[in-house]
Amino acid sequence: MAEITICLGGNPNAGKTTVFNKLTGAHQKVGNWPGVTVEKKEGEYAYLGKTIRVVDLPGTYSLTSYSLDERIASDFLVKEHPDVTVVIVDASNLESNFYLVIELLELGANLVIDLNMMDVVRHKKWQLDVEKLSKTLGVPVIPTVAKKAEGLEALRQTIMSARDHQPEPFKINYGLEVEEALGELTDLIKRSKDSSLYAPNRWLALKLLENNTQIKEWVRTLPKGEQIVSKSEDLATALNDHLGRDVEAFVIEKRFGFISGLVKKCCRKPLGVEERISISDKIDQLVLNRWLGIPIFLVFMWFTFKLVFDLGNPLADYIDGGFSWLGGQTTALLGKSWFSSLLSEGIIGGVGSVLVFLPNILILFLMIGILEDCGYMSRAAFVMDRFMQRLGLHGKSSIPMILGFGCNIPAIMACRTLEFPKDRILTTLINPFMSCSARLPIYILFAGTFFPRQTGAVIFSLYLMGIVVAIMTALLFNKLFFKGESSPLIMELPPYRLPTVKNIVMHMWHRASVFIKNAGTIILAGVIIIWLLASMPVGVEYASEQSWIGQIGKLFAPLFVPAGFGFWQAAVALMFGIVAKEVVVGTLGTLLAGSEKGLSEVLPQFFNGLAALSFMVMSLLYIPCIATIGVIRSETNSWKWTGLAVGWSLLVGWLSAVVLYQLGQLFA
Amino acid sequence: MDIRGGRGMAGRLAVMGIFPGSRLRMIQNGRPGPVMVALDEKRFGIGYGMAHRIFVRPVLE
Repeated sequence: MAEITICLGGNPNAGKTTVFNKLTGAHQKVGNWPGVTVEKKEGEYAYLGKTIRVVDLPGTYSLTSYSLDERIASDFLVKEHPDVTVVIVDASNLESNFYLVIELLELGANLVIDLNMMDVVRHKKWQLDVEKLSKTLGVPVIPTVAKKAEGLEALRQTIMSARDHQPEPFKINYGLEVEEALGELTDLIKRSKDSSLYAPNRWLALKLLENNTQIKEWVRTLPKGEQIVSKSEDLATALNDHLGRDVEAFVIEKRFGFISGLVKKCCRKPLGVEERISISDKIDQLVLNRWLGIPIFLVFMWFTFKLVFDLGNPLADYIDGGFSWLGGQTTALLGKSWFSSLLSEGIIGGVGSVLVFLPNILILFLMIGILEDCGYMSRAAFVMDRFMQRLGLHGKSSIPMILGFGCNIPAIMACRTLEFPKDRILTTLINPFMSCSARLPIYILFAGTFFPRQTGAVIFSLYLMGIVVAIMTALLFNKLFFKGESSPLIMELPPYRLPTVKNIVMHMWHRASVFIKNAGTIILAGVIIIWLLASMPVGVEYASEQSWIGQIGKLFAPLFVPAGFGFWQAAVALMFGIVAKEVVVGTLGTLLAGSEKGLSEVLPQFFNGLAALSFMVMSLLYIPCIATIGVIRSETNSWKWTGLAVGWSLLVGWLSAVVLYQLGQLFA
Repeated sequence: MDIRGGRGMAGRLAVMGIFPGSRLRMIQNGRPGPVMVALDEKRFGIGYGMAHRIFVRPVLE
């Protein structure tokens, strides 16, 4: 049982992930925030005989309600009321990072400030008066360099001692007019508040004036809440007139005014140009260049995939060999029987055909982790913005799209970083067309067998085709369902920095474990179901036409005649690809060759080169796997969008395969 | 500097430190693509659609 609950907050790029990883080590679990699918990371560590539960809040700039992340953060802080809140601040960017700190102080959170990235501050020769900072704000301030674990012991100690400390909510003077309105609202709230809202009255009043939709919802639930909210709206309108501007903006600027005074008091900066930033700017002049930006982006992606395949495939061969050996040994040990067949072909074969692709997937997520950690991912969004805007999408949408190459499930989950529902839905819907790593085994098998000299080029063009279909779908759906709205990009471009090994390894592990979990459950179940269907009714020859699976396949096969693979085995393999795309290879192996081994020798008896191409196109496009369909449903919260994703992809997949095959025959 | 945009847009920019009176430095003008601006040590990418609703007055250094 956790005895102390703390949470970590902070701006994006302040080093929050590093602090979280260093504090909790390997004791982490990844889940979802209740009701939404934003990833929630939790971890634990032991200190002085106590267990401390650490909840990682989404990275935010403030506690407003502009984005879902911000809503989640304020929701957790107010409703769960953690014992201690640690806010991670990039010490080299005090001005902008302190905005969130001030909001947390106003909320009366039991705060510990972690001044991270002190190495940068030292390097810049700034003089930061930590003590004065702590005294002025009334909360402990701990300087750290998280990536070198410097100051973390002090942080742990301070968290422990801060537990019983209950600071008074911090007050900024917002000037006569605003203070008057605040006083009035605070009184009203005080009179009607019950224990359900654990937040200072003044803070609630302030948030009402700031037109915070989430807080308005909460206050409405209080007795007389409706009156309070409408009173606050009247007051805000009056203030807007009086101040000659939005009270919301006025309050934000007052906070920044306070911060700027604070930073002047506590931090002395020598004059001179900053070196790290200027190096970063120089890199950006190249990387974000109008003409070179997109080619550089493509080179990075190409390089990523080269590494994934050239490094991953030999490793995959070892695993493959290992599982074949294991299957063979099992059969030798148990003799030929129904049970040994289930064990060696169903279970061992099933697990093997999943794990064999683990090296590719690990390297892919390693590369994505490096690109994220070093700061390139946000550049990719920047570079792609102009292009994505034309599709009616946001530059940030390119990130889930790139992640989709790894696995559509985390990628669709990453769509939550998009602020606008329209971007989220559109990016989610087109994501399954981004060719995930589970489809790779199909390409490797077919392209390797039929196009041994151009394997790389064939696979690359499949990926490109997925992108093209995604783009066309985005354009079409945007016109059809969203009337071509566009959404503005605003995102921070953090300075380039060396990635930290630990963050990347953790990232890789989290992502890979998601894949393995799917492998362990859905895919294994899929393979066993296939084995069963292929062995039923009892006494039938395994995977023959008379088996159940053969019957179902025969029913669908005529549909695929115009695509060049109108035989029942292909139809069956595709059907089971819905369970998970990697099952397609295993199924074909079982059905055509009796096992996955030797499949590449048997394939040419069934497919010609053109049919192989069209089969790959079909596999690329035809339907999201069951897990992806599930995620689409939960993310869009609508069966309508989910149904659209499924129906549209089935149609597009089948049409593309048919058109490709027919055109190919025309020219061949 | 002035912002002509909806409340949401102005607010989103403001909490990042970009509001009337802020001193921005244009690092890269990718017109018609996004622009990159510097606010102190921080760099922001702002889409063109949003950037052309932010009005600035030049300041001599």
